[in-house]
Amino acid sequence: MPAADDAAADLIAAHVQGRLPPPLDALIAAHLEMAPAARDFGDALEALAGRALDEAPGVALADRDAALERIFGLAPVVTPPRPPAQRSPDALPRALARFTEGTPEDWRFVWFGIRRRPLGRSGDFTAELLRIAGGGRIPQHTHTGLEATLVLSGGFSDGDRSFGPGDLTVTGPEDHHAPVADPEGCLCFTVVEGAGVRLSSRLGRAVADLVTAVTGGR
Amino acid sequence: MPQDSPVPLADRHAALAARVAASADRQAFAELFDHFAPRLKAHLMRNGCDAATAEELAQEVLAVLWTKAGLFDPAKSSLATWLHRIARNRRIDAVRHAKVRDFDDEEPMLQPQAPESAEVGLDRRRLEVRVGAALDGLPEEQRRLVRLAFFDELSHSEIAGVTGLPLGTVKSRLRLAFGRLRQALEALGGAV
Repeated sequence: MPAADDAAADLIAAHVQGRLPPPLDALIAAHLEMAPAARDFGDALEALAGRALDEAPGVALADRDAALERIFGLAPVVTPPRPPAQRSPDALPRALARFTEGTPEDWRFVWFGIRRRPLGRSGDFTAELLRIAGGGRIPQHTHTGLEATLVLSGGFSDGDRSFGPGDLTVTGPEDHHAPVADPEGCLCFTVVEGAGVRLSSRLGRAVADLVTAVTGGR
Repeated sequence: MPQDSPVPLADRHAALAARVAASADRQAFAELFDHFAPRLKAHLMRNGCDAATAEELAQEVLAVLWTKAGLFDPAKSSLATWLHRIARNRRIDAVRHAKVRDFDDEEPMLQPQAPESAEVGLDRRRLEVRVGAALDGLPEEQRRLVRLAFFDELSHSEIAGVTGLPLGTVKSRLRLAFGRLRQALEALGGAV
């Protein structure tokens, strides 16, 4: 089993247990929506967690009867099963649509052919959408912590691996990588831990700093 | 395993939930409440909620069952799995927004899933049984770690503390166990 799958499996397990910070939780939930094999694995772990809930001992409520009375005071809601809402192929996965709700559609220059839409920080994690033009190349870079990337549409390749919609890559601080977008371009959701992405070449860093200085990051 | 096969329990819960959905049957609901509310409270406390918050969230989760029992689909999961998911999302929303928002009708597990294509859709009930069998079939050491992670809900470093194993060993053995679970799913017909 490739190490990359292990890292993804760890994240799926942490998601099921509700231990992920919100940006990573949204990323994994979106991955599970998009990738059936991952969803089967996630559902298996959910089943395990459900069984654990059934078997574990409980802690008595402070006032069981009052709690029950309060709930009986609520009117049951009759909700006939609805057919799934029609979703356009470009629509974000539901988990991401919820996560991006209320953030501005603000695309900023990163590098030639690459734009990013910041989605904010949460604790140690920075989330953003990345749009890479066809054939666009992200300069070789490293990060100080974990980087998780979910392909939403299009695709990219990195070394000898290629990634399409629903695919997840998880890389650590030691990995240098330089993804290249497929001809149709690529839209990704990325979550980066720590100080964020650091370009590997001094020239790359100098150009990126200059562009940021001139454009104010836009 | 200290319990009988989980399936009869799941069937019992599904039958009670169906009575709640069909006729707001208070007796059926009270039986489910007495089973799940204390367990949800304990689960939430293991995950960092204080007793009062855990009790409040547990009641909210059970209130969802009372008001929306018709949305529970026993073909997709056991009631325990369904309630666990609702509890998790509630807890995460509580952390993220500092308050629990109104019930979200779009919450995926409360909606019928998009029809799954024939070649990928696993029968969810068979999956639950299979997962249980796969867990029982793990080597003793891996099963113990999975139980500590999922049943006692300890973090990896807490497990290392309890077992005296190095953190790296805890992680790698859990990964082996996950690999076995994925193999069991493959054998079930899913492309995992």
